[in-house]
Amino acid sequence: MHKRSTAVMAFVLMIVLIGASLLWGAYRGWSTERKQVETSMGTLEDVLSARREVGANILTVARRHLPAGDPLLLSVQEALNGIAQTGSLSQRARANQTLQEGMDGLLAELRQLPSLTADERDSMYVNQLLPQAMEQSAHLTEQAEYNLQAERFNRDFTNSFSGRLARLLGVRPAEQFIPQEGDAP
Amino acid sequence: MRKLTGLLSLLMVIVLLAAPALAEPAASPIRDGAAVLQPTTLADARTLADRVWAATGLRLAVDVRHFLGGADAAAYAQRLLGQQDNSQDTVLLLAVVGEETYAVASGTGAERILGRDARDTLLSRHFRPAFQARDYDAAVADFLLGTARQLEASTGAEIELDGLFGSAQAQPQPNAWAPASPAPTGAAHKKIVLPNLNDILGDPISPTRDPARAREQAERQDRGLSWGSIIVIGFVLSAVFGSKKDRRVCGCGPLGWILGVFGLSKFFGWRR
Repeated sequence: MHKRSTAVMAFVLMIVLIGASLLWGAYRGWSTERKQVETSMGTLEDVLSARREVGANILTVARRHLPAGDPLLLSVQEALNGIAQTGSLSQRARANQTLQEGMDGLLAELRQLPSLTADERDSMYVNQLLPQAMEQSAHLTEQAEYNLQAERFNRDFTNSFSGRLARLLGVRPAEQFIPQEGDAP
Repeated sequence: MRKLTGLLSLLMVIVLLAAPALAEPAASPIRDGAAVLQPTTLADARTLADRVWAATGLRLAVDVRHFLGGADAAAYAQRLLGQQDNSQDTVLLLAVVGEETYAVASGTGAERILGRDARDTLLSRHFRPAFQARDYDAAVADFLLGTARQLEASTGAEIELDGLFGSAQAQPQPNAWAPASPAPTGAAHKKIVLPNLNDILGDPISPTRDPARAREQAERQDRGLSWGSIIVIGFVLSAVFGSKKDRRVCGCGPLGWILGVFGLSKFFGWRR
């Protein structure tokens, strides 16, 4: 009888230890993975900084040809501030999207202006250099290491058993640099 | 085998001979990141900078860019000066074409040779008029020639200027610059293809933060137990703890230990 109860206790202890090690392993493994995703945030900040600078360059040219109160000018300026702010990533992604639309609109508006057509240098900027820079910076932002890592982390985290265990212990999915539907533009 | 050895030797000789030719040339203090200067202007500017350096010990540097991405020109010029090889003896002229602004930064040694007042006078008389008229070749040429003449007068050094920037500009009258064409038509602008996004950014994306390189770096830093380590650990554990067991019962030897280490490393996040 005594031997049997010892065996049962050992069995229960084994199950508890296995369960604890499973939980601990899952928590530790996924926490480390998440920290690695967060450390790659610097790459996103770098490309966003490049994006802001391209926007500032477009504004520099636009201010020479448009009045200060032009709605598109103001909209691009506001979007630049939105990217720089320390809001949530999805809000900044929304601001980035607004910036892209604003810069597209601003360049299109500038192309229609006679003052720009008459200015060879600024015309070259608006028709060649700045659209190229805008495209390059947009591509870099899409390819930012942070976004790729966050996407991979979230996919594995959601689809694995250990990920579900880690979620029970408080590990959260990584926030992606993607605009959400509810975010204000 | 002999053929292979011969080919490899030949390849090594070619690589060794080609190495000096492939080596990075020394960074020139005259840089046209905006591609607005004529090649002859660039060549003459580099020649003049070398002659001024040899005669007076002052290094002249020029950096022409399209934009600074909203950065302050004076602060940016100071930053560029800090990146120069002999920053204490350098006078650096930064011209930002698309922002229609410019700035000069000097090291402490350079200021002893060319004082701030003289420098500012040179800027206002020999650079600003042509720069504002978008004649960038004339602006750079006039500034460098004016600086060289100022240095000749103040230090007594002789600097060979003949033939630089065309014969007409080698002997200009003081303050006699006049725009060749009314602004803002500009001198012959070339069609520009943006070679590098960093050329129009004030705060360039560093190579280590480039997405592709950052990924490689992260992969290199991702240390943990490799498959090889897991197998070795499995064998060691099997040798230490498995020797007392009756192996005929299991028949799997170190395989159980290897799988055990594999499982534990997965749970605890040790595996690479």
